[in-house]
Amino acid sequence: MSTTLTTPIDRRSPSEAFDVPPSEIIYSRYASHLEPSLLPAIRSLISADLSEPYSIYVYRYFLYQWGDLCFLASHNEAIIGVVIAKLEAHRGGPQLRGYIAMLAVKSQYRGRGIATRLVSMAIDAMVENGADEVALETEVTNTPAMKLYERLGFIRSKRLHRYYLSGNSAYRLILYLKHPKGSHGGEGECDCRHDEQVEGEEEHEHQHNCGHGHHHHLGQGGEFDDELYI
Amino acid sequence: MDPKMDSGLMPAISEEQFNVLASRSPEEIIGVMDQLLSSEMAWHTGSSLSQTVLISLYIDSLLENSPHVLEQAVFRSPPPELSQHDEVLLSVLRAYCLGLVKCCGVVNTRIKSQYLPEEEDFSTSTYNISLLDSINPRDVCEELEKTLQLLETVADAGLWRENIHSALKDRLSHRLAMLQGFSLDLEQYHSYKDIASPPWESCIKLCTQIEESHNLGKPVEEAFSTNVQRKLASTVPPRPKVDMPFAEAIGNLKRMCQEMMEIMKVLEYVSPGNIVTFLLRFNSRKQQPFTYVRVSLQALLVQNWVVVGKIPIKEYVIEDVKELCCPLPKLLDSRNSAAEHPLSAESNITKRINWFVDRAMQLILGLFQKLCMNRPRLRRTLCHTLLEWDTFQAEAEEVDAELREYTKEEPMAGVDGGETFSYPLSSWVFHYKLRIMEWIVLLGFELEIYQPYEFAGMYWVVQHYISSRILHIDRIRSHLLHQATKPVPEEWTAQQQDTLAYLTYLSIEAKAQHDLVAALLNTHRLLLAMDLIKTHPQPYGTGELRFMLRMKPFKSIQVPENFDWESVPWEYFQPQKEKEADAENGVDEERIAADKQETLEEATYYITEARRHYELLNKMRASVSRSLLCEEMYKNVG
Repeated sequence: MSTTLTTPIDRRSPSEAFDVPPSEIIYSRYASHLEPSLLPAIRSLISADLSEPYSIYVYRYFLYQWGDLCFLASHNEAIIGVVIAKLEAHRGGPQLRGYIAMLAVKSQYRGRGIATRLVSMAIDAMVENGADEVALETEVTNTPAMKLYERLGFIRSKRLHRYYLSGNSAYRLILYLKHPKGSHGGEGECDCRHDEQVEGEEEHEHQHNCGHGHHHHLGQGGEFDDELYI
Repeated sequence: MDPKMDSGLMPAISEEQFNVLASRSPEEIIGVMDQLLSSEMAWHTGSSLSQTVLISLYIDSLLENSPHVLEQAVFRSPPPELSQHDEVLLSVLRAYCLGLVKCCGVVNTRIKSQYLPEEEDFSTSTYNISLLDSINPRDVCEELEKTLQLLETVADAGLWRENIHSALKDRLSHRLAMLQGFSLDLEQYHSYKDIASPPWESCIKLCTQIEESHNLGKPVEEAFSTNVQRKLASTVPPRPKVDMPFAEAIGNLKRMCQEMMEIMKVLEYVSPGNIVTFLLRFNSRKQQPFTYVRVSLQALLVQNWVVVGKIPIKEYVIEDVKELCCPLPKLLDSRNSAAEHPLSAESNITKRINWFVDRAMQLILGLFQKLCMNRPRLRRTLCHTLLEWDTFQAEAEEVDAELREYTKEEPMAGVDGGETFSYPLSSWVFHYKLRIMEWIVLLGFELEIYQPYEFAGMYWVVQHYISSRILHIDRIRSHLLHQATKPVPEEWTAQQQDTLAYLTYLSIEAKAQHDLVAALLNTHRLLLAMDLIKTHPQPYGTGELRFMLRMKPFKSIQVPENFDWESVPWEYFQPQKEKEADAENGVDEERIAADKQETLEEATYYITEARRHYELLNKMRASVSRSLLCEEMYKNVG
């Protein structure tokens, strides 16, 4: 999925940035009873950097099931940063995989470690829930996002050719939190959409479970992550 | 309802907005043709037809009534008041558009005929629009020829300046050459070099002429509209027009023609080793060959289980085994299959060889397909196929052992005093498997999957695989030399000599790679020691866990043995930890300086060795280095 952190590059180390967030930035966990007010704010924050808005169902898919993995940063009561994630068994196997679906920080607030802090909060919450690993995708040109994740300990596990609708390729980044349980060999993670013809994977199930109408993204290479459709 | 998401909300295009029959200057017609070529090339590089060719209002108009015959494909009936000038120009544009649509149609058919991960490299969707599917390309070529004649007849009328006239003519001739090229079927490829005016060559020549006259053209922006998308059968939200600059488009087209000419080389089949070298070199170029070319290459390689139209894939596998291992004559003797007695040695050999070849040919076919894919996918599919090769190796070893009963192979004394056997079939499998393992790691570098702080570790890994392969090549060679001491049929001696030379080449090549990798490994160790490569604390995960993730593709492989974290030089895999340890234990400046000196010396030693080996390779005959099909490419990259 998309991680919308474009400019500027944070030249400080994540720990420095950690230490000095402006004290007025308040971090909180998403609360479902506040959906009517939070959801529109989250949507507009994330849509700001996307050529195509996500359908409301995409947000609901994540927030209804994994609202506890969604964290917000706000300033003067306005939401200025958000991370949306999920956690579930990876392809029905023993591995519990976290997935960072969306991450956005309002442009004027970037470069202060807010995104790093949000991602860390999401990972910590996943760890509490027993996650074995965390995955995400980012555009190959999105250096700030890759830096952020790589500094936290993620590594690139594979490249996905023309993954986004824009024609851009993606990297899948993975963070192992525990020793892997099963032994499948291969590259170690799901190729989902991309390898379905190779291995006849249960891709379509992914789309149906979600129950939303976003299949149009798949037609041309899907700007949005395949995992979104799980 | 969001217009960003729903093309149905786009306004329809009315005739007032754009009239395909409106009078155009010849400059505008040239401009439109060049715009169309740009959009066609954007499609060739991965954009969808709905963002390129199909949003041309001229093409939209031609295809509006799904024409089944050429006569139906018109910009509606022209009103009688058209001047001769307008009529000729519209005919030129119509013929050009028909040629272009037909080009797209035949290209799409070719691409869909082969194994290709859909919509990744190339967008084959036509949104239920027939790209003149029911019309023979020959008819479209004739239409283009007729229009060229029409242009000639009006040349004397002095309708336009001469350069304009040539520009129009060149574009039609160019389109004709493209269509002739694209509509060649695979059978015709086999006689490509006998064609009097080969289309790809003509196409390149005409590209240059078109480039020169491009400035005469005047683009007509309003001749394209994304609003056409509202009519397309698709659930995709509106997508913007893809603009490829003309210079880039023509550069792409020239490169594509050049690549098409190059792939014909595989038809000069020499041996399996040469085919593999060609595939590796051709597809590892910085600018990956076009999807159409890679698909055509895939089609040329194997059709109906015949390799390059010359050799059945079963025979190809046997040739491949012979080329690398040159097993005992009895093993691959084609007369074995004639044996009638089911319990005879020959029948038993045949049964097992057939089993082996049936498995091997599937894997070889798969490898051909993979080597024609885009690089990220190549790496991922190699990770998957590696397990198949691993299983196959174990099975082939059993078969090798069974076959010894029938070939009466005499053992060779091993280094430890025990007896060893040649294991020819599994040796062949193992060699491929080791190469695949190396490719997976090397592609990790190429695709920038590894970060600079990981380089030392990953060089260490690939060095290990290359070392295993060097040992393996030596093993094959020593068995072959052992067998060579026994009398064998004469034709086999030639094969033995050929294999020995090939093994020497493979060994030097592997050593060159090994030494280059070792030099790079030491260079990166030095860079890390000098703090010239950034490392970060990485609060989540551990070095060991990241190492396991890196090794995941190789985790289930039986040989060579897997690395165990306890035994790997962990400082290569978590350099930041080494720094932390230094900081904790205090820094022994003297030791560090000595270490750096030693690392530098090692790097220098290995780079000198690598150079020496590469120079040796450079002197080898193309027949030995198996680069007969791509000598220039091989020397330039190798």
